[in-house]
Amino acid sequence: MELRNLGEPVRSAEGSTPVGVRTVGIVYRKELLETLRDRRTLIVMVLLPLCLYPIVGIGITRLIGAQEVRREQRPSRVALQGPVWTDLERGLGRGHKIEVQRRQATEDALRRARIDLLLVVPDDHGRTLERNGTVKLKLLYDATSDRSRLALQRTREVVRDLTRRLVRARLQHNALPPTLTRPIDAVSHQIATGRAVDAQLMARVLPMLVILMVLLGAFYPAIDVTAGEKERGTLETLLATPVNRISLMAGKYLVVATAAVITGLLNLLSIGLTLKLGLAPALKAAHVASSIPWDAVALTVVAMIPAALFFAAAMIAVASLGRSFKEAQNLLTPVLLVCQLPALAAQIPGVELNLVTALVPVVNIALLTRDLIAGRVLWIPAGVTLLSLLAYTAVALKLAARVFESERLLFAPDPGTGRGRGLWRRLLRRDRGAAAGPGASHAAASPSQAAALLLAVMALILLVGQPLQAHQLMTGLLITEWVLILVPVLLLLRLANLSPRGALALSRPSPTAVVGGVLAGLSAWYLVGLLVELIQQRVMPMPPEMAREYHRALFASDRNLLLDLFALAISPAICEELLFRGVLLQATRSVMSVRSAVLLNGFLFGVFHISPYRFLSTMLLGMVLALIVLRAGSIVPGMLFHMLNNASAIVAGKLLGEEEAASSEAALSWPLLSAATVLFVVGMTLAIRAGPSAPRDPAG
Amino acid sequence: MSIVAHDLRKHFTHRPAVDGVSFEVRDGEIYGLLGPNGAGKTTTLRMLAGLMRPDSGRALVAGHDMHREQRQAKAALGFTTGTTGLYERLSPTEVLAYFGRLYGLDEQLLSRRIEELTRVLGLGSLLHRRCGSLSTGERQRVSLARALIHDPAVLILDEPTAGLDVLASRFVAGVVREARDRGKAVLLSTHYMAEAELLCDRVGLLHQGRLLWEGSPDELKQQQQARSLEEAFLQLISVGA
Repeated sequence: MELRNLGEPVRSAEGSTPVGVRTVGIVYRKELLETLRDRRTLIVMVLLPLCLYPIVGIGITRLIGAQEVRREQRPSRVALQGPVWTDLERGLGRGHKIEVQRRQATEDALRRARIDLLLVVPDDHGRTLERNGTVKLKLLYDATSDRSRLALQRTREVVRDLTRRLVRARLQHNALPPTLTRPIDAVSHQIATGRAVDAQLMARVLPMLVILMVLLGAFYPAIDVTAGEKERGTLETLLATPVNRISLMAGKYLVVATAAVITGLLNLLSIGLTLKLGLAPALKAAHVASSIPWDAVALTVVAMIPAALFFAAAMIAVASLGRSFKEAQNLLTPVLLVCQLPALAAQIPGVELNLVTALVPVVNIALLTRDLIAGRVLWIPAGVTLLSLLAYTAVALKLAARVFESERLLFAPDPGTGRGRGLWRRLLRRDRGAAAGPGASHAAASPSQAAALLLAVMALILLVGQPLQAHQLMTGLLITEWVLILVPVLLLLRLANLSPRGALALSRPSPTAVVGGVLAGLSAWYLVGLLVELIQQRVMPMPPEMAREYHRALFASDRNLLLDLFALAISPAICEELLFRGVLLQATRSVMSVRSAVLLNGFLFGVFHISPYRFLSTMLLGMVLALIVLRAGSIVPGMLFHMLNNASAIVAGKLLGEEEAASSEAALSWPLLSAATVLFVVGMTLAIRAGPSAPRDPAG
Repeated sequence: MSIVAHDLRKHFTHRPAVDGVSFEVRDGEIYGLLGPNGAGKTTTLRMLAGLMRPDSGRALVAGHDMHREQRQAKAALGFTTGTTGLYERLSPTEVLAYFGRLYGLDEQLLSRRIEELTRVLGLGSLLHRRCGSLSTGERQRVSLARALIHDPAVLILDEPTAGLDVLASRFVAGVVREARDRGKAVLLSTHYMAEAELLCDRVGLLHQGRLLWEGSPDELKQQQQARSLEEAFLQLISVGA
């Protein structure tokens, strides 16, 4: 071994140590190299965006486009019943894609989808017309069938034309001017450019996406360059070098920001290409958008860069607190959620970017992105947004640098458990006993897995579910529940190898809890509805036209009740419960107290329903459900509660009819109120006191 | 004096970790800080390396106060932790270049140093592999090269032979001796008494945050009339307790 020579003496490094910009550059280059070699980062930064959007795009195309095109091209089969009415039949024959037939003119054929519409002509239509009377045409259709509804639409057009001709003939016959029946001719002109209309859709979806993708892009690098370096033991050697800690932090920060920007750009690129190459024809066919506003996609980049700078700083500040990779991951997950939620601001009508909202972080990014895309930017609030973001970035960096100065955080021993129990509490130096009891489930999802799942489901709903529901409510709802919510839950279970019992609380409930869930579920809709009505009407009343629209959509009287119950009560009771009271609640209960878990669950459930007008009611329901499931130790009473709550509301809506259901005064009755209160209190007491069922034989 | 610890004290939440420790390491000397786990060895080294601030007392490296002239003090210091922590996704060359640049070496000098250290520490076949794929012994060699990259006057090595097999330990011991012979002051910590006996010129026995005894291994054995350093240490502790 040649040990005689350790090399020529090096000039003392004293005085030539790098400061400031040069150190930042050295750290930046090294951290970037390391980040680009991290598989996790590469997956989130490159692979995910490049695969996600094309896959989602193909899905949408298949679902909407193909179906739509096929449906449009297929002629509607209209069967006529009753005497011959030549004018009508000729009209139908000339009508758009209608096949008239006299065979199978029965309701039964309609029910079996042999025909799409049954048109019943009254026997005396000829005489009625001669007497200037009104002919009563009956159009029978099946509201659950897309083809049948399309047939109705097409037939109505023909009838409208015929009516117009008959009116003209009557007026002529009586020597009256044709304008007699048209005292007003209202012509509407819309002034928004085509771009503005299409940009609406982009303005809804892109701000959420921009924030989500930038956050995800910063996530792993932020952990890697801080807590990761602590865990590997390299931070100590790094801090033993004569470099300024601020420069060190700056170099690391810039790498995280770079990763966030690259992730954002690749996502936008992938969205753009998917839209251009695959999705545009489908969206056009579905009347969702007629053209893609490319400048909107490009403008998003402008908002993305300050967003990336801010998020990178916030995430690096929090990640520095973690002593190990896993701990930092558990710390950052709530940050991911908290940063994601204010992005919904861009969805609330009436919330504008002004001097106040420009000061609220994340909200200002969401609003600025929205306005940039919609092509209406107010320059002063935009400027304030950028300045305030810079200020917040500086504060976050200052905090991060301070963490690097803190011995307590640098050299605290790693707890090793990695579950991060009470982590935030410990960091905030509030010592209280561990909240979760002993024997907390070992097979629940980790908080970060649960958060990732929720974010993925939210993204799917915004990207796929909402357009689908706007296009076709019932099908859209069913796909949302069973595909967009349930499938990711099952995938997580499968991939993370979690047990249904531990991760979803899918276990046999005690009979008392079941009875309690049923009683409380039957009465809750009335109480929650009333309470919300009382509070919300004062705080944030739903615009009346929106309320009418909402009730019409949900309580449409011409739909099959069983279908309604399946889509609006049974499906959410299964799918939403498995996500919220299953994965999310079980994941959070091991890291926080029952109270916090219930509050967080309700809050997330409220946010999940996207509409600010439904936030309060859904949040309350979420909290009640979380409490029941936690106390009963089983998700089943929660599912029953959820199902009966929704079912009662639907049945009541049908019974009361559209108008009454929309106004609460009609529904307020004291006997009903007291009965519901008693039922609810008894039910909740039973559900909460019941406790989990006796543990089964371990062998079973 | 190249390393001076003067009445260093450090208190953690519930107990004093280092309780008034003073010693000096001369140029061309290997000084071993010995003691069981939890004796305060690592905390002492961290204070001397400027990673922790002592509650009271002074730490000097190459004549510079670690607190007041931190940059000069750190520039003269090569430091390894007990974990042989390296960047898993970088190659040894990249790690060495990174630290060399942080110590202010220019590119020409840097490549010369890497070449020399590669030769001396036998890194040739490792240079372009990822650090994550290296064995513990190989990592320790890279780790030493990293601490030596700027040819510091002072070396502080925390448990440099922990977890190494006999051959790798010998190799490290050889490098440490070589550094001493070139006039560097070397401070290392270990709980392997036998190794310290062979390697160190002087040892300090640390127990419960205090320096119990200091001197050459032979002096200690003579004084305690013990056959080995370990025996002498155990006797000292029992007297102290």
